[in-house]
Amino acid sequence: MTVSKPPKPPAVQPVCPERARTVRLVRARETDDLSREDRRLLRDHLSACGGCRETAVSLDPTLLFSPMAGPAGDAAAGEGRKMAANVLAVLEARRIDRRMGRPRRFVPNHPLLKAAALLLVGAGLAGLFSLHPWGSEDKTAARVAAATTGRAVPAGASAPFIETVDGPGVKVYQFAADGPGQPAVVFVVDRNADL
Amino acid sequence: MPETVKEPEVALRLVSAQRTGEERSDPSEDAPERTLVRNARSGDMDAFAALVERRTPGLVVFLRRMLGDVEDARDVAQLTFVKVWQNLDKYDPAWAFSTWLYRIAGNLAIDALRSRGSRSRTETESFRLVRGGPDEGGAHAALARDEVRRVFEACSTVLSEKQKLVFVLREFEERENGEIAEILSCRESTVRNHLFQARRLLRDEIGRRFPEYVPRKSALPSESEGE
Repeated sequence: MTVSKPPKPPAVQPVCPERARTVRLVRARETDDLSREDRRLLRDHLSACGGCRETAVSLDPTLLFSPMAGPAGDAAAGEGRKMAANVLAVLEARRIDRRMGRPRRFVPNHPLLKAAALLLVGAGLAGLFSLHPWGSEDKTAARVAAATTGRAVPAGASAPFIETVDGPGVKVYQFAADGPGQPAVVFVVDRNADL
Repeated sequence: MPETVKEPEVALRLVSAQRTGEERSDPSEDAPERTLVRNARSGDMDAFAALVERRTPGLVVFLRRMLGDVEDARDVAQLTFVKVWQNLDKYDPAWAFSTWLYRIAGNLAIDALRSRGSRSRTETESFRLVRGGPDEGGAHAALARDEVRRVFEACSTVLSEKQKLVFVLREFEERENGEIAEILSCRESTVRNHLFQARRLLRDEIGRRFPEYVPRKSALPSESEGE
């Protein structure tokens, strides 16, 4: 008599004891409430537990990328040294100016400061121009011309006081000052002078 | 109660970290690195070379994740270090050197992605996800990582440069939102928004292009089982 073996029961995949915590962390991650430590915890567990990873990815497909997370790790040996050598070679080849180590400029470089400086320079120039007696030479010349030729004195200019001394060939033209603080002008015209 | 004993100690450490500015430095930035940065700032070429050597592996991996190509990543890393040298006098030691380095690298990576423009490097070949298990390790894990990376390169083309930068810094480089905000010179809320949009776009893209990688929910144990 042969006894047949009973059929094997279907294999039941054991549920990871960390499943509940994984689901909780994934839910918290959706609202960005995970601390750095919790994120590391989740990442480490998902990289070790295939069942929990499937659950996590079904809840949030972006967790598919969790194996990419983490520190640099297996960078090629000597990559840093090679990069340093390359960078130094580039700096040397291009003779790139080394600005560090220099004292900071006393005047900071800022657009507003530049604008203020321009404004000050402009205001200074305007002040200088306003102090210069533009046009007064023309006015004086017109008064002299009017006095010697007998033409009418231009408007705004007072006629000079003319005094004849030492005979008919010598005249003194005295112009009053244009205003307070302005100098009076005196011309002596000697027609007999031997130049 | 150990918790009540530890609390003031932790609080004190946090306060002192905020005062000294250490809070901004990342864990990989240790005292020797700060010395190297200080010496490099004063013109020490050897110190700068040592700094480049230390920071190259992490930077190349980050740039490879951004650009999808190791040669491009090395080129941009080299350019990053040249720019670092040129602008070391502008670096404020109150901030983490790593943050400043990644800001320069991130900007250059964005420039590289933009200049690449329409010539997308998406690979059209089919992928086969290597299912990981408890026995995962060595070559098997490397293969899985490689395939996942290629899926990411294919799917991340739907992201804007900034969304990709935020996603890589947050999910792969495991940086905090505050630090990413410093790297991008933006607010934390902007970082969260970029991250939210990036995840949404990637979820859609994975589901559209690689549905075979996403397990069907019905085939999975119920949530209550997991709980």
